[in-house]
Amino acid sequence: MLKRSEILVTGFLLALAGAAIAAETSTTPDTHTHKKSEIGIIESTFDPEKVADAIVVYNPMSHQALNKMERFERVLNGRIEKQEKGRDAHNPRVIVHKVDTMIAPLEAGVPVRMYLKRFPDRDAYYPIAIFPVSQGAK
Amino acid sequence: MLKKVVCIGLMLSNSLGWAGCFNPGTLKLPFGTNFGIGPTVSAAVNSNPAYVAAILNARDAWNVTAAANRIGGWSGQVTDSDCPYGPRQIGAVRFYECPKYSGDDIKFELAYMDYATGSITLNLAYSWSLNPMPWEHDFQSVLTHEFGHVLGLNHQDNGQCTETSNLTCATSPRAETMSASDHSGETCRRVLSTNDINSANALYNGGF
Repeated sequence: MLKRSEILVTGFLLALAGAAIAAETSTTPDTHTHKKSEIGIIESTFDPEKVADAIVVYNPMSHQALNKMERFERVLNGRIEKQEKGRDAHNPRVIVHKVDTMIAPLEAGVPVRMYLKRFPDRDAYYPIAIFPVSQGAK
Repeated sequence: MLKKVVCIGLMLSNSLGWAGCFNPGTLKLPFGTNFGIGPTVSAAVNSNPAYVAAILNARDAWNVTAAANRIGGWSGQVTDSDCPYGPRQIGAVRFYECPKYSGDDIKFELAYMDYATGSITLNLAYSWSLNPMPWEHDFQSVLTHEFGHVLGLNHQDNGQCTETSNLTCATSPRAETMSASDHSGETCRRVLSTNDINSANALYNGGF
């Protein structure tokens, strides 16, 4: 049997716990509406500027649906307007869409800043990040 | 003082049966809730079975928990192109990939789940792969994580949860799927950790 004082203490603690939980839940109503920090943003931990072998401003000649995960590699059709990283060691003449990868689609005539990695076994490159020209390294 | 109160409250709430990485009052996803596929991927869905398999594997990773079979199949192509926010359809899960070129945090937000629209969005500014190199993101791992949010779970480093989220696959094969950070090139988060499983079980045990 619980003593009266123990019951009182337990009741008090339960009330405190209830208040604490109520305070915590007051910002998250009982619906699927959550603060931005609670909606499950997962963050990237790598910096493409550091990892890329070359960074270029790339102007696509046609629409290229790089958002499709293809089973076959495709060579991209476009022109490098400017190279911002890797000029001494890298000359990315061939850029491909790798098998089983997806990234932002390209629009004809809309330049993008493309972060490139070189294949270890051949003189060809593939994008690891594609940003608008207004963002990323200058 | 407040911290002490919260701690006592959480200890008591745990002893009363509420434990795990979700907010009190979180709604359980109904059984078999379908998810749609955004317009940018419909062709890929048709042409690459490995892509489809990765989505289904991400969904089915949660079948080892009490939340099994809550997420159903996809409900066909989504015809709107208002990415990432299509028509509001609370309760159904939608899945979009968007370049997400607006905002200052483009370099960091990799993917998110929006409870208001029931949509998962992947940031296509980065490369996603079924077999990632160290500088590519693992499509299946991140989708498994986002399906965890679909089920109502929070990140493992979110306040009341067990905080071991800085683990990498290199340091621990039990790195948590519901960690707030993705470590590019890693695939061990395709499989749920004990903490992930415990959280789902805590929310879904007892059925509806």
